[in-house]
Order: sequence, then C-alpha cells, then structure tokens
Amino acid sequence: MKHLWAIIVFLSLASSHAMPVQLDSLFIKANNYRNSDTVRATILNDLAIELADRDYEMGLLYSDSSIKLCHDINSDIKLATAYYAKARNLSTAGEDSLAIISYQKSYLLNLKERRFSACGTMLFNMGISYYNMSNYSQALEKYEAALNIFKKVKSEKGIAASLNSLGIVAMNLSDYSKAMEYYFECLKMAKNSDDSVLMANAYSNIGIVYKNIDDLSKALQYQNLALQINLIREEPLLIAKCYNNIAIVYSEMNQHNKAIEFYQKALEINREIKNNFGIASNYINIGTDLNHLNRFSEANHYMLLAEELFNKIGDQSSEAMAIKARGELILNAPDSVLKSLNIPKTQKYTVSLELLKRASAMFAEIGDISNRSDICQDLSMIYEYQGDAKNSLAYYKQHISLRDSVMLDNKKAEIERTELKFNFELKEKELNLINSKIASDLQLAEQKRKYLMMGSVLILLITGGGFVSYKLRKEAQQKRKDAEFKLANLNAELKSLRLQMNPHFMFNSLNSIADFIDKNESRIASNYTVKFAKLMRMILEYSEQQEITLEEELKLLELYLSLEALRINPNLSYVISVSPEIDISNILIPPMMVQPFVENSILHGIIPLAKPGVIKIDVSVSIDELIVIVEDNGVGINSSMKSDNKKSMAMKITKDRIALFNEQHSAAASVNLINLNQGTRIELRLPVIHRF
Amino acid sequence: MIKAVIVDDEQHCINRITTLLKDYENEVQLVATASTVKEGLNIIKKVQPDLLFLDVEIADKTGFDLLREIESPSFDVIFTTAHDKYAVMAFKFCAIDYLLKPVDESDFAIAMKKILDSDDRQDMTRQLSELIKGAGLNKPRKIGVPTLNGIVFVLISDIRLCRADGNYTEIFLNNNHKIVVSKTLKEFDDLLSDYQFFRVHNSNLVNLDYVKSYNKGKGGFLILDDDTNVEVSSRRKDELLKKLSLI
Repeated sequence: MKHLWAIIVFLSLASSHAMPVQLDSLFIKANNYRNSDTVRATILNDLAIELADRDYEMGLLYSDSSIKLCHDINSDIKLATAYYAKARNLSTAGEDSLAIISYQKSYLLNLKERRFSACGTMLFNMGISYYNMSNYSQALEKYEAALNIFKKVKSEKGIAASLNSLGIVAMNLSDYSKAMEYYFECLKMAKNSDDSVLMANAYSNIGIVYKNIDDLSKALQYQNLALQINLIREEPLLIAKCYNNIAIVYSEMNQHNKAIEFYQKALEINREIKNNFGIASNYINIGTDLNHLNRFSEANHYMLLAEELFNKIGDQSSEAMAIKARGELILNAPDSVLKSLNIPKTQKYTVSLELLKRASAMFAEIGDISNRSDICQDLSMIYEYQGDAKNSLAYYKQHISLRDSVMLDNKKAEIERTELKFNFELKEKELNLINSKIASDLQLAEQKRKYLMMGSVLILLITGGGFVSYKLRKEAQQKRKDAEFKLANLNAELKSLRLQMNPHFMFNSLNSIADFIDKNESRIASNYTVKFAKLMRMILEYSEQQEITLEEELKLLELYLSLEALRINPNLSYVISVSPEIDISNILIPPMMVQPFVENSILHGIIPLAKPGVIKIDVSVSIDELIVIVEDNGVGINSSMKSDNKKSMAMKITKDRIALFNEQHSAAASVNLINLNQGTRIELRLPVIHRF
Repeated sequence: MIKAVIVDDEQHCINRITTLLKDYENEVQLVATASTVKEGLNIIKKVQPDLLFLDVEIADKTGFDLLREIESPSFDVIFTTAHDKYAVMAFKFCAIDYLLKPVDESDFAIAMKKILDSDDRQDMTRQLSELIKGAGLNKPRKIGVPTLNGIVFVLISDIRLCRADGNYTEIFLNNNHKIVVSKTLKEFDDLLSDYQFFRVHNSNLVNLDYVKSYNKGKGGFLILDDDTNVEVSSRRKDELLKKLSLI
C-alpha cells in the first residue's frame, strides 16, 4: 500500500489589500459604516477576503455586495479587489472555474489601473485554480505569466511563489529535472534574501523530488535540512510535516522501525496542535509500516483509529483506504492474530469480505477506479477460497475491466504528460536558439568590424551599435518578450470584446432584414440580403485581425450605411468625406471602431426624427492624430436619452476597447460627444498608426 | 448563343443563378441543371456547354472532382461558393473568377462581362488544369498572373520582388524577366505572405529567400542576390528583422 500524504507546500500569495485584520472588528466596522463610498468598499473587501478561509458562503455575500457597491460608485480599483475577494471565496467553495473568471476580471481591471503586481497575483491565483482542476497546461501558462510580471516589478515573494508552484506542476507531470531546476532557483533566491521560510520550503520540495527519483539518501538529507530550519523557527505544523516526510523516506528504505519512530514524533506534535488530518495520516502510515513488520494486531489498531478520525473529518477517500487496509490485513493475518482480534477463524473471510465491500462502495462513490480494481481482485480471491466459483469469476472479470480502464487512464495521462513535456522542451529550445543566434550575430559583428572599417555593415538583428554586450542584448530580449507577452494578452482581450460585438451587430442587422421583408419588396429584399452577406463576410474576416486599414473600415461603414439607408429609405442619407492628403490604405485602425457610433446616430438620432436626416462622416488628420467625426442632424442626445434609457452595449464595449487600445499603444485615444443645436457630433481621436 | 449548365446541390442556389441569367436572355441559354457530380458529368458530355456554373461543395464531392473527370474542358467555368477559404485561395492563385453566395447582382454582371468579352478559351483550360493540380495541396507552387497576353503561370519561388506601380504591379523574376500585372500589390501581398514574402515597404514585396544582406538606416534597405536595392520602411524594420532571424 502506498503511503498517504507526501506533502507539497504551496506558498500562498495574498493580495496587498488583505491586511490581517480581526474578523470581529471588521464585522463591527461593516455594521457601523454605512456610507456608499470607497471606505465601505474597502471594509467589505477585507471582510470577504478574511472570510474566504473560514466561511465562503458569507464571504461570497460580502464580495457580491462589494462588487455592486463598486459599480455604483464607479471605483475600478476597489472593484478589482472585490472580484479578487469573490474569486478567493469561490476557490474555497471548490468552484475553481468560476473563480478563474473572477480572477480574470480583477486582472483586467488591475491592468487598466496599471497595477502590475496585483496583475501578477491574479495570474498566480488563476494558476492555483487551474492546478486544482488538474489542468496543468493552463496552470503552467498562468504561473509563467505571473513569474514574468513578478520579475518585471521585482517582487521577490511573487517570483519565489511562482517558481515554487511551477516546480509543483512540473513534479506532477513527472518532469523531475524541470521541477528541480525551479526549486533550486527558488532556493537560490531564498538564500540571497535570507528568507528561512522559503528556504525550508525549497529544501523540503527538493527532498520530495529526490524521493520520487529514488535517490533516497539525498531525499533524507534535504528533508533534514528543512527540519533543522523549522526546528529553529519553532513552527510546529511544519516540523510535523518534516517528520512525516522523513518517515516516508525511511519507509521507502524499508527501515520501518525508523519510519514509525518519526511518525510518532509527528503524531505527538499533531496531537498538540490538534491537526486532525495530520493525526489521521500519521495513524494510517504507522499502520502500514506495522503491517510490513508483521505486527498485525497493532497495525489493525492504528488503522481503526485512522478510519474513525477520517470519518470524523469527512475525508472519505482516506477513510476507505483505512477500511481496505483492514480488510486486507484480516485476509492475510495468521490465526494467532485473528484470535487476538477476537475474530473466529471461520469468520475470517466474512469479516474481510464485509470490510472490502464497504471500502469498494466508498471508492465507487468517489470514482477511485484503481482502488476498486484492487479490491475486486481481493474479493475474487476470497470467493475462490470459499469455493464460490461463480462470484470469484465475476469479481475477477470486474477486476480486469477496471484495471484496463486504469491503464487507459494512465496511458492518457502519460500521453498528456509527454506532450506537455515536449512543448516545454520546444520552448526551451527556441529560447536557446534565439540566445545562440544573438551570440553568433555578435561574433559576426566583431569579425565584420575588423575587416570592414567603414561603409555599410550588415548584421542581422543588430540594430544598435556594435558595442552592445551580450548581457545587455539578453536583457533587451527579455524586455521585448515581456512587452510581447503583455501585448498578446491585450490582443486576446480585444478579440473577445469583438466577439461580443459581432452577434449584437448581426442580430440588429437581421432585424433590419425582417423589418424590410415586411415591406414586401422582393427585388430590394434580395439585394439587401446579398449586401448583408457581404458585410457579414467582412466582419468575420476583420474580427480575426488586430488592426485593419482605414480603407477597409470605411468600406465597411459605407456598406453598413447603404444597408441602413435601404431600410430607412428615404429618411437616411449619408456623406463620407476623407481629407485628400490622407492615404487611407496606409493608416491602421482597430476594426469596427467607428461603426458603433454610426449605429448609435442612426438608432438614437435619425430614426426618432421620423423625417429625412443626414449622417456625415468626416475623416481628417491633425499632426499625429486621426480624427473621425460622426455627425447627425437627428433629435440629439438629450431627447433621445429621455425616450431610451438603455445603455448601448456596443458603445460600452467600444469604450473598453479604446481604453485597451490606449494601454497597448501608450496612446491617448478619446471619444467626445458634443450636443449640437440639431443633432449630435461624436469626435473620435486616435493616434495615427502607419502601416508602412 | 452561349449554352450554360449549372451544377449545384442546392436548389435555391440554382434558382438564384437562373434568375440572374434572365438579364442575359439574348446571349445565354440555360440548357440544363444538375445537383450531383455524376449527373453533372452526364449532362456536360451530352450538351457540350460553353459555360459551366460550378459549386465547390457538391454533397460529399467537390467541383474539382467533377473537373478531374473531364479530359480537357472546352468550356468556361464560373465557380460559386458560400464560405470556403481554401477554395477561394486556390481560385486566386489561378486567377480564376468565382462568385460568393449569396450571389451579388453586380459581381455576377462583372463575371458575365468577362465571359462575353473573351473569345479565347486557351487560358481557361490552362487555369483549370493548374487548379486541379493545386487542389488538395497545402500550398500551390505556381501563381497565375493576368497579363496583356493572357494568364502566365510563374513558379512562386522564381519571384524575386513585386513592386507597386499605381494600380499595377511589376513582378521581377530570377531570370531577369519582368512582368507587369494590372493588380494591386496588396492582392499579391495577401496571397504570398504565407510564403517567404514580406512587404518591406508600401511599394515593395520581397521574397526573403533572395535577400543577400541588409543595410542599416532609418528603415534601411535590403540588397538582393542580384544587387538590387529594395527600400525598407522604418515601420516595417523590426518585423523584418524578426522574420529574417527566423530563416
């Protein structure tokens, strides 16, 4: 039987807002302070975060009311924390996929506020949630992204925690060399900053890796190092964990007496600090080692203790393990032991059968196929001893089929692991390639400089002078990678925003078509449909792109307007004018940036007017700004607002997009809404981005 | 009178073309329609059409399958497709006209004008055979470029440089030949960017395989293996260097 509980320590990372405040005083504060402002939001957030580890249901209530409050008072900073608090609570509730969504929201808000270290924390926590869901590839990705950010903002705690978590994932993927690398880097950091907690943690994890690769003496050595630190720091829980880890190594070395000795030490501490899970684990581990020493009745005693305690704390899987262990023990025990356990010889099989079936039912409930397969084999054997061939065969068959599916599962996991490992290696190779390329380019540069004194010197990749040192190049490379990473993130967000916009736009247009068909003019209806199809094709194509040319955007607008003009005929006419000095094929703009404003003008300006109206689109450039003006002579924003209070989804999304666009280009794009005597003018200002 | 046949597995698509053909009653006579590849082949053999409207996806087969069965097609083909990116790419590489469904009246008129104006089917035969050869391959090796003397197929790997000249594009080949095409550089950019081609400048699309060296400068310029200088726009420099480093 395998030992339970080879612990891996997760370093926790709290957001900077989570001050350790007394829960009670927070409740009092929350009750007393009722103003709807950021102070109350802070209190609610702190409360929700504090509750995450104690009462997630209540925590969710508080975080939700904080989210609502933050929306009302328009505080993005507090809202970011509120989502973080909600995510923490969701995660404790076991709703990791929902937690990830909340973390993501918080991440975006923090990004908007340029609070990068909080962004790192969110990515890190997403990593934990993905890990909890056994989605290792996503977990790796998030941890790496977090590591990147933490390195950028020079957060040592963050870097350490990310490295540690990356190590844990790598270990789960059986990629021990990678895991070792991460842990050692972690250790190095800990030593540099003299952080003993981190050091002990790294030692312990390195020990676990050594155990997994069967280098048991090394494993022992590192666990002892961790133990020494924790002894000095007088951390009872960590000391108990170290004892337990050391015991596991001894057990692997077949030194069962020594193992039991260390389990007892752990047990003593766990009892002192009332760590029930620790106690129960110690029980079952001691029982296992006693079993190895053929000390059956003592083993049985410890297994019983473990079973009771696991039952008490509701750990079904471990409880079932203890029951199974007892069933097997009785099955294999010599008569003398049975006697000491007060089990008549004739009842041996019956008792064992009863225990194993109970365990099997529990394993079935939690979907543990591997253990069920084992038990079926035991049961088949028992029936065979009892001369019940029919049942024996039935259980044997079940054992085989379960075993096969276990093997299939293992195989799948193995394949996934190999694939991931391959990707890992590929990434590494790419990195090495780039580095060696830089090195060889530099070498080339040196040579060329020697031979060609003046004139044109060609060196690929070197854009600056030839004096750039290797190290500087590498740093620059890293910087560029960081920037690219951030860009990739923003692009993903832009894409998702656009995807939200498309259905909205599509249904509006379909509605236009239905509306049009009602008018019963087949020739124009078909013309309309064909145009609509063209527009859809454009939108589909442009949605895939990060930027399109101004020419393409204008073509899309023209098509859109011609459709709407057909529909609202004869009440809509339009003019699109472009300053002659602008080369529209050489200016880039995020796709569908202008369309929502035009749509707004039609819906809220022209249509309520109920008589012919004009939309003018004017495109010009002033210095380095592209100015797009959408002007209508409709009813104007004030009167249309009275009649229509709904916020336009497209407008909201477009505003978000502009904010992201500013982030991405460090730009100051803006939208201004101006009330005219008759109608509304929208001024959209974007930086001029040339394609060539 | 031009004899036309429509092969399409969806009746409403046949109806649409039929309706649009009504404007051409004096020039075109629709003689038959078919909804499967097999039926289409029979009809084509029987009526020997001059013009075929051919759908790309016909049940579980394709229009390409149909053409493969015909030894040397002696008719014009106008392809129709709803949303098949690969087929559209293939058409573009062979400079073959196609109509997207639902078919636009004015697009239809342009395609018909070409058919009615041309009296030479030589090109079409060549284009179709290139199309069939290329269909199913990931990347065509040749590209068809319409010139004054008809469609010329050139090996993509033979193209050194494409240079914009207003609405025309000059194509420089590695045998020192130059072809002038009445297509914009953008159209070639769209087709060739999946190959080793890179738009280094508003008016230059370069096959990076022919780049000998790069000279620094604001944007700098590339020197090709035949010592041609190609200007690089400063905004394209970074991306160019990235691309070059990958080769």
